[in-house]
Amino acid sequence: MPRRRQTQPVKEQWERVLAGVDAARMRRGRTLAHNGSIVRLRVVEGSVEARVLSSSRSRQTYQVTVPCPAWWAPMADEVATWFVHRPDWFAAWLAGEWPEDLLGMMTAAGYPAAPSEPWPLWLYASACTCPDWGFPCKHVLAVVVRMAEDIERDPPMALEYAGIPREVWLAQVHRAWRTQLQEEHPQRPWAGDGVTEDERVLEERALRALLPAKAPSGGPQLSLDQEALRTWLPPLDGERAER
Amino acid sequence: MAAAPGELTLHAVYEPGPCFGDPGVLHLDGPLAAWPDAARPWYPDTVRDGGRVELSAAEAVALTAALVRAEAEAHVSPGFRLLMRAYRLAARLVEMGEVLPFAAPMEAKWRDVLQSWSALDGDQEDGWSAWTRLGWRYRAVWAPRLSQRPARALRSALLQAAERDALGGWYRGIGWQKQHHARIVLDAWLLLCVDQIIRRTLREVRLEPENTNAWRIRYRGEEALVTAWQTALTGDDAAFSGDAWLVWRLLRNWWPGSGWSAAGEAYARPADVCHLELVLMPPDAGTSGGTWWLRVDVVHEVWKTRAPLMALWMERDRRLQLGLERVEGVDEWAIPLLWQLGESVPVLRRTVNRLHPGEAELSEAEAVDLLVEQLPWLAEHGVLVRSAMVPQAAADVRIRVRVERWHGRGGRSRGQSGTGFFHRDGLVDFDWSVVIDGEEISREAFERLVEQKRPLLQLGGTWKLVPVQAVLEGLNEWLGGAQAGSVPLPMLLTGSDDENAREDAEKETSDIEVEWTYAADAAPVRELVEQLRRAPRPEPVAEPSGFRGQLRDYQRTGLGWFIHLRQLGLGGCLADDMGLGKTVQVIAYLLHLRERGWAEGPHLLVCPTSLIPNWRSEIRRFAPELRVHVHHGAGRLELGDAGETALDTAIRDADVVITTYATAARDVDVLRGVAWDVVIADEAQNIKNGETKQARAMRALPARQRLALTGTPMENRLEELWSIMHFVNPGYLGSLAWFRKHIAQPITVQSDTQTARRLQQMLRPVLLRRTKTDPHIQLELPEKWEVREYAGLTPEQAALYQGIVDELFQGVQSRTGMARRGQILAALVRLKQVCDHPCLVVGGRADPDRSAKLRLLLERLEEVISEGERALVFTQFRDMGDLLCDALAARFGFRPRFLHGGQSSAERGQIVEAFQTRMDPSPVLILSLKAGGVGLNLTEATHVFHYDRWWNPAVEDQATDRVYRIGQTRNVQVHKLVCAGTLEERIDELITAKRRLSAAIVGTSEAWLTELDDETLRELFELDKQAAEVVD
Repeated sequence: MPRRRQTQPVKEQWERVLAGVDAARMRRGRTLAHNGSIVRLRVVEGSVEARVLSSSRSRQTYQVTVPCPAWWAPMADEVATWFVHRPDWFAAWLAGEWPEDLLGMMTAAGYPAAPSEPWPLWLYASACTCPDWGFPCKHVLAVVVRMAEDIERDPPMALEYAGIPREVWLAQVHRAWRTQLQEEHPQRPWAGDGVTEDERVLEERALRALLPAKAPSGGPQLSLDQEALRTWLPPLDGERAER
Repeated sequence: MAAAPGELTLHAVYEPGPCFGDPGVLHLDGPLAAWPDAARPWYPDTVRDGGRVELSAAEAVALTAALVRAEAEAHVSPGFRLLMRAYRLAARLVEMGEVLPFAAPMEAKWRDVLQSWSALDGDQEDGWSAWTRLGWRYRAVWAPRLSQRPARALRSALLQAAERDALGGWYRGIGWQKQHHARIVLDAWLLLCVDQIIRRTLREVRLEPENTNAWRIRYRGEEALVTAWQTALTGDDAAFSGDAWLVWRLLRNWWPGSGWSAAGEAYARPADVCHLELVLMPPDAGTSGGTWWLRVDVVHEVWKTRAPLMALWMERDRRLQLGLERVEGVDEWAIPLLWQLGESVPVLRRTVNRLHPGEAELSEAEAVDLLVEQLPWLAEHGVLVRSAMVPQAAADVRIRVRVERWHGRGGRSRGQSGTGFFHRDGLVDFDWSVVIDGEEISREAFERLVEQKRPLLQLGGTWKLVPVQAVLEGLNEWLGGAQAGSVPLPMLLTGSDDENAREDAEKETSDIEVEWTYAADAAPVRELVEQLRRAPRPEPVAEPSGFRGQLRDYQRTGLGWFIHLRQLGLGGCLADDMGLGKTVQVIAYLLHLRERGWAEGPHLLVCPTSLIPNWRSEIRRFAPELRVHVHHGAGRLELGDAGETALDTAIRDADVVITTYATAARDVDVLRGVAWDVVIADEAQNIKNGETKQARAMRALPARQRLALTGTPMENRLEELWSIMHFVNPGYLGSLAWFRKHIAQPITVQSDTQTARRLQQMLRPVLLRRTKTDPHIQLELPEKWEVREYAGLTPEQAALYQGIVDELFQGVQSRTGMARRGQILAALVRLKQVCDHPCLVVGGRADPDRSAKLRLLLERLEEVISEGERALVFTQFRDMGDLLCDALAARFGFRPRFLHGGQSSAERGQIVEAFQTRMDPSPVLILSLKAGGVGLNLTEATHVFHYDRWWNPAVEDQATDRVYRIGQTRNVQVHKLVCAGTLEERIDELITAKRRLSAAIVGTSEAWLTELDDETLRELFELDKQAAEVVD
């Protein structure tokens, strides 16, 4: 479903942070970010570590380190609690929206979606193994662009880059809701209408759903002795039963 | 399935070798008693082995195949059962050809090999470099392909089961970590099974089919490699020598699309394998307006199993069990999806915007909205809505009108006071319901649906979508504003199954059928309704034998219609266009009644005074058998010799009593005492106002049947129509108040065409109207046709006429020769002038009241003008022409031009031009008979009046031809005005009788008259006072 977004508040925050970066460098960084040059990226203890391919043909990679915009890992429980109580934020966020009140609340609580300092301060601690003495180098900027775009496109990436992986807070929300559901009267109008089907029936349903392979032309071709093959094939109960 | 504890089971553990080159062994353990029969060839030697045995990879697959085919699952351990399930998948993949050749170094680690499958399917080019260190000894195998979703789902289910607990067999030093154990064992076993089955059944293999790539440049050693690999894929020896780069290169040709990159993870992505369904549950049966539940279900595409999204919050972790799989990340997929869909379907946001999302309570309106409005949109977006109550569009919807009771008479009695079929309170109770797929929904229930804006009905466990709007339209169409209750019976005709009506209905709006049912009480209604429906299609009846003349077909139909109505006990209104012969139809009818002996008394014909002579003359002309009495004039109620009035005598002896509206109103007390057979109101617009004395008098007259004749269309003046119909069939259109509210107002105020059509349907049985423009009628009409219109004489005219005749016969007897002729011709001219207007002879005012013929002309012209048509009036007297111009100007406000011999030809041409081009505001043109010479073209007129007669038809014909010319597309009607009882009438009869001979006998002058002998002349000239019906 195509989404129209009227405002891009997070993007604007990032643009403010990056205001004044050399435009040509920024462009090169964006190119690297978009052409698959970032080959590995992970968040470790307050930093984003990435490997960025050299733009030469040497297949050399540089080790890039960029400080996380914020480090909230210790507050994972608290963050999860927001969503436990605001399922609408949970849903909208996962759907790629930045609810205004959520953004406002996060900013007020000191959990910004973008670095709170301008780049010269924020990127002061960044590092890259490339020989470029310019600051910040295009490899660092590539990672920065990736972070900003990730967060804009997929809001939960803001938590990811702040040390709270998706699985963590999703699991916490799941746990909280599970507890609440158990405390509630679990009776539902449809209780007991779930059909548990026999494992064998399901399995045969899937087996029978398989179609003859469409062999790629020019690929390997084999012919089997169908007579002999029949002695190897299992009977399909369901097939018999359902006929 | 699982063996109960303590039962004898056969345990099996598959252990791949430490490296890829070693397919490993199957460890079997179990007392001999536990071994199924199917495994007999592999029975261990219990003495030597103690029940344990190790089978080679090849033997292991053969054994497993045997057990699977013997369906021996019940006798083996869970771990062995899992291997058997994997075998079933592998065998099916082989059967479907879902296999690929593979090769890897003998020394490669199992885990690396299995990961390389994912790399080969994905976009990684690299992967061979690690193999270069592992030597050149390769093992060729057949590997499973997982390009189809069911295969991936099954493998994923097996993997999850393996990871849970089933496989066992890991121990320290096995060569890989425990967390990878399940996957390695399972995939290695799948590989082993596929490889073994193919090797045992392979006939031929070609890694690179001939000719397809003949142009390709071969790398060094490639051909040898392919040959060696091909050989290694057959038979028992799987080893061959290879080069890492070359092998990888070939594999990259074959493996993309194998499905292994998607299968790389143990958990399928919900977006790939699931869709959402909304389950809508109605409130408990019987409670209306209760809470509906909307539950979001996740449905697995392969297993076809479902789980409520809510179930996710009951799972220990974020994995939802669906079929044989646990699907991870359902929350991350389903919740944002629902949120996005919720932009268009707001209730979906409610399912999400709650702690532990997955359900919502809906109001009935929301539920209906979802089922009715949003279901297609959701389906388009991949979300199905399920409900036991998913409403089906009702297939067969009809409106059932039930006629309950009739307050009118129970049976048909010959009305003594009024026709009585439709009393003022003779209403019919009816009710309607809606029948949906055979189930009847009461009016109240349907109205509730409408009120609640809820087009759903629960019928026998299913929900039906009721096309409420269509039903409402149908109701409106058939019943109009008339809700259930009491209506005049003819309203029931509006639901006619008459074919024409049905066609009309289809053209217009709804396709909802209406069926009519009748309660036992209302049986007579049914009969009557059916008869009424037949009424508009009466059979033509031939003119009675005594009828002097021939009826046209449509006139015979009119006759049949009168008879049919009589049999129904109904009156009718004949509203044919002027000139179509209403009079002759009535005369034929009255004669028919007489000949059949059906008349139960005399008939009473009421008409305007000026028409009495016409009626009398026409009756005499067409049905001389009918005895006519005119009840009119000062002495009409005087006692005669026998002590009774002429009326009393007539009632006994005459067939038809003719009187005027004024007289009827005055003598109502006398006339109402007579049991009339047919009472006819001619020019029925005279009773268009129901409150007038005349109209009340007419309604007071008891009759077997009432007829109304009118030549002017009435549908536009609805209350006048009601009034006339109220005379003809009292109560037929309901009370005036009812009629105004339900018929007149919707038509006039809201321009409701459906109501107008309904009115037409109601009237169809009792109102017969044919128009000249009707093609069927037109076929029968001559292109020009003549009618005679009879006028009487005023007392002044009668006296003058008598005086001239007396004078003539005093003198004429004594003269001969030219003198006689001169006297006759002079008298002839003066008599004609007297008939035209007395002032032509004695002078004085040109008042229309002095001439009955002038009055008749003015009445006829009024009809012509009101129809928007044009007329020519011919006269042979110049003075009369001027007089006509004055009279028309006084009456209609426009002054016609007079075209006569005293004008220059240019002047005449200008007059004709003005009339033809309608520059002349007057729709009437007066012409002198002689001036209308050859060369004039007056085709704009459709009526020609011969105000006075020229006793030579040829001259009149020539004048008529001014109008009727070739190229004239409209019919021309010729009116010949005749004063009844005078020489005009008699000569007319003479001419008509001799018409064929006219040219020969009469020449072109009137001179032949002078040759007649005295006796003939007297007969011709004498005034028949009774016929002339001296009127004042």
